[in-house]
Amino acid sequence: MDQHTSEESTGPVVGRELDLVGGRREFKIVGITIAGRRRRPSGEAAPLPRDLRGAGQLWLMFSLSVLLVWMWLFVSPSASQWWTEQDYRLLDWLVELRNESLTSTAKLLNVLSAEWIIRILRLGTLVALALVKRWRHLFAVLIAVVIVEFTGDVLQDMIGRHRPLVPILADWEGASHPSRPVGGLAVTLAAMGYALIPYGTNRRRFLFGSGVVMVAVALSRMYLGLDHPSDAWVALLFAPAVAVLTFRLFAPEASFPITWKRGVSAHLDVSGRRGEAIIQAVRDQLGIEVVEVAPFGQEGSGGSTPLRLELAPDDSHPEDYLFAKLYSQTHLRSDRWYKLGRTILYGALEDELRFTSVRRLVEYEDYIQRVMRDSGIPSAEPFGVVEITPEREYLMVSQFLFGSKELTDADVDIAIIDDALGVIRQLWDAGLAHRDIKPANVMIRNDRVVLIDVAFGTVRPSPWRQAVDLANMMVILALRSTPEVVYERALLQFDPHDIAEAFAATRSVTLPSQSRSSLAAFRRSHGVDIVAEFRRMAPHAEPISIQRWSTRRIALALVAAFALMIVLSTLVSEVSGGGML
Amino acid sequence: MTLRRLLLVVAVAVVASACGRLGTGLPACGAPPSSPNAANVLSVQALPEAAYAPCLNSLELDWDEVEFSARSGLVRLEFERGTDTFLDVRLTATCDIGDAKEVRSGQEDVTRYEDVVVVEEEVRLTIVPDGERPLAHALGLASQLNGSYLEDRPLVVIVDVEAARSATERVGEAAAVSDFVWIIGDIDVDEGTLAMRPTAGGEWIRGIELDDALDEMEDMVEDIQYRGNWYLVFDGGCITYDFDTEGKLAVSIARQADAAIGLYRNSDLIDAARDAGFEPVER
Repeated sequence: MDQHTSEESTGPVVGRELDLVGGRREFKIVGITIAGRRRRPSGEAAPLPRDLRGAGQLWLMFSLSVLLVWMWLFVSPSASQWWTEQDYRLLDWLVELRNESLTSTAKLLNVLSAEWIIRILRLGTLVALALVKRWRHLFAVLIAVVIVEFTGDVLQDMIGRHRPLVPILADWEGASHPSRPVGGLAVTLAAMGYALIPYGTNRRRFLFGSGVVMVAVALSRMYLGLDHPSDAWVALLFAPAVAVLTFRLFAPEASFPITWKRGVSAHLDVSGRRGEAIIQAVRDQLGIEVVEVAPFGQEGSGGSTPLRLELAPDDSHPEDYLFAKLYSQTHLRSDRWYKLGRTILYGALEDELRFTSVRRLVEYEDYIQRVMRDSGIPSAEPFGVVEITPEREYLMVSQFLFGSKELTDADVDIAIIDDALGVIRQLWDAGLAHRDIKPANVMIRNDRVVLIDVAFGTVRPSPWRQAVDLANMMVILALRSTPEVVYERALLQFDPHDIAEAFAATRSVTLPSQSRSSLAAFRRSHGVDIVAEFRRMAPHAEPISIQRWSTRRIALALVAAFALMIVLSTLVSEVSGGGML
Repeated sequence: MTLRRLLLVVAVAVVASACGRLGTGLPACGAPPSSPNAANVLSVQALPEAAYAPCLNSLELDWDEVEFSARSGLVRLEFERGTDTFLDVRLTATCDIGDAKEVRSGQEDVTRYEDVVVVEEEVRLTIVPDGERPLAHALGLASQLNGSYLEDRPLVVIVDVEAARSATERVGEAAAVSDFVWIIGDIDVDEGTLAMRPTAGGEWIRGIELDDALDEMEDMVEDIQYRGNWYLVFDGGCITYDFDTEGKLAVSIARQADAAIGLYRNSDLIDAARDAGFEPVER
């Protein structure tokens, strides 16, 4: 359709707007030129497709096929007869092969599937993971092992298959399908490969070697008459599939790569494919040319992966960087667990509701950033949301605050104090709350206060929430001046009763952990309890309780206690030698 | 359909299809050798050289659960009520029968031994009256107490009427067949008291009133028990019954175990397998 036709069909006004669609629109936000956006056509893969491909899909198919075979066996009696016939063809052939040397070799190989060997491997793996504090991988190993052992236990009882009707040459225990020793060793080796060995050649070699060992063990057990072939094959397919899928879902390589050093970061790895995907996505979706993606300020952030995006050299913009926060399913889950923990420990904080998806989380943060900006709250300029993996990973891009310092690192004078308290006043007047006022989120740039990390912000908060924001700001200002000065300046913008309410609402739980530790350090070094000082100066106010015993909290506490009991009993069972591990 | 939904559907289908097959995990005495259940076969496979393996004829109503397990050299049936295992039946290649006494087994090729401690259901009390008046008094007490219970155990009262023999002799005889002995003399008749001694040991308690005597007896009475072992020894194996019961179950456990647990002839099953073209054991 040419320009003339477009104007005829849509009218001149709409036509002018449509002229821009598909063309190279250019505009600037805080000096950054945005140009050349590109819409991803239907069917084109996202910048970083979901990481369940290749081996993951293969193992998923294996596990599904095993489930279907089981279903077939349960539903159709003739199926088990057919499987039995196939089993005995191979078993009879193996029995024909029996001789002394082969039997000795098979018995030797079968030792690898002994319970004590599997236990040593599992406990060794767990201890190694605990030593390097790789808790996520440790839990992934536990989950995979428990799924395989529990499924094996239940299915053995349900299916109740006897041992092969051939002379049995070694010791066995319980029903034969699925083969628990084969499944137990297979899931252990697969989990070890994924939890202990860095991605690459070594892991591939280990997994290949484990595969060879497993096939040899399975064959030896068939030869010895311990397992039917279908018992061993099913376990051989199902157990590693559970391990692979567990690690793909709970500790994906892209997010939690294995590196052998202590104190592994919870942040996503932005090198390799993810880094390339971010560059491509920012170019396509925002029209901004990024040349490098690097982690930035990760020590102060647990809820997202903060990044610095270096822009391609361009005379048109004075700033060379953008700030970005990468959100993934992992962060969403962390957010849920964090809120769940707070609910159990501290009661229902009135607005601690969880997000249902990563998209909702970033949509909310984008929205609150824009509301803050529109309300005149000094904060970083938002550039929008970039999709990395649909529904699973998104990037929030915003202005990089050059030359800014954390409030606790800056010189805090009266002007800064007034400015900071003025920001709280602005929040109150706009009906907003930041909810995470702490030194790391209050920056000083060009002698002005700028709030960052507004993700926890809320619209029309409760008065209690607003009071907590004020108290938290006064506390961190007092850390860099004195409580008396801060109180005196606060009276210029707030009523004494507002301040009294703020400190009546202040509890350990309402103070961010960074502020708590700074307060404790201040108390140790100066002998002054800042919160107590503010309470002394403000009019008397009764403490405001935030403990709320709801049905949900009681239920959650009971579930948590039950889970703890299960974990403890499992540990006791393990120590006494009767458990699954 | 999403992956998650597909997995859920498959998992539900597997569980649903499996539900119809639950409960096939106990060795049944009535299972024909040509179509035994898996537990029967596993029992034979665990100890193929044994002539018999334990099996179940039926389950008693007051037995909550029976757990079957088998591995090389061992077949085990654990019978539970609540959380307690009251009977543990094990088939092993050999067993140590200790001081167990041989009893009739009812089968030519099976020798049965028993070594059990039984606390009977009845509490036996013998009253030894010393004179005419005490005899009348004792008979009155016997008719009053017979049919009453101590700790859920029926009290059986016997009055020794053979006044011609010495009291010592009569008390000695009474102690051999009773749990408690009372002696009642003329003074006791007048004062409403008696002298009491538990036969399991202990001193005479003299001048004790009737109600106090019954309270003392109630404190001393043990629960009904059936503890110990049965051994069924046969060619290639031995089945040990390990009983640990008390209360009402102890009264009937021996009879129930005899009726519920039987012997499955392993050779029948091995022959049937051979007839079907399998060779489960070396010839």
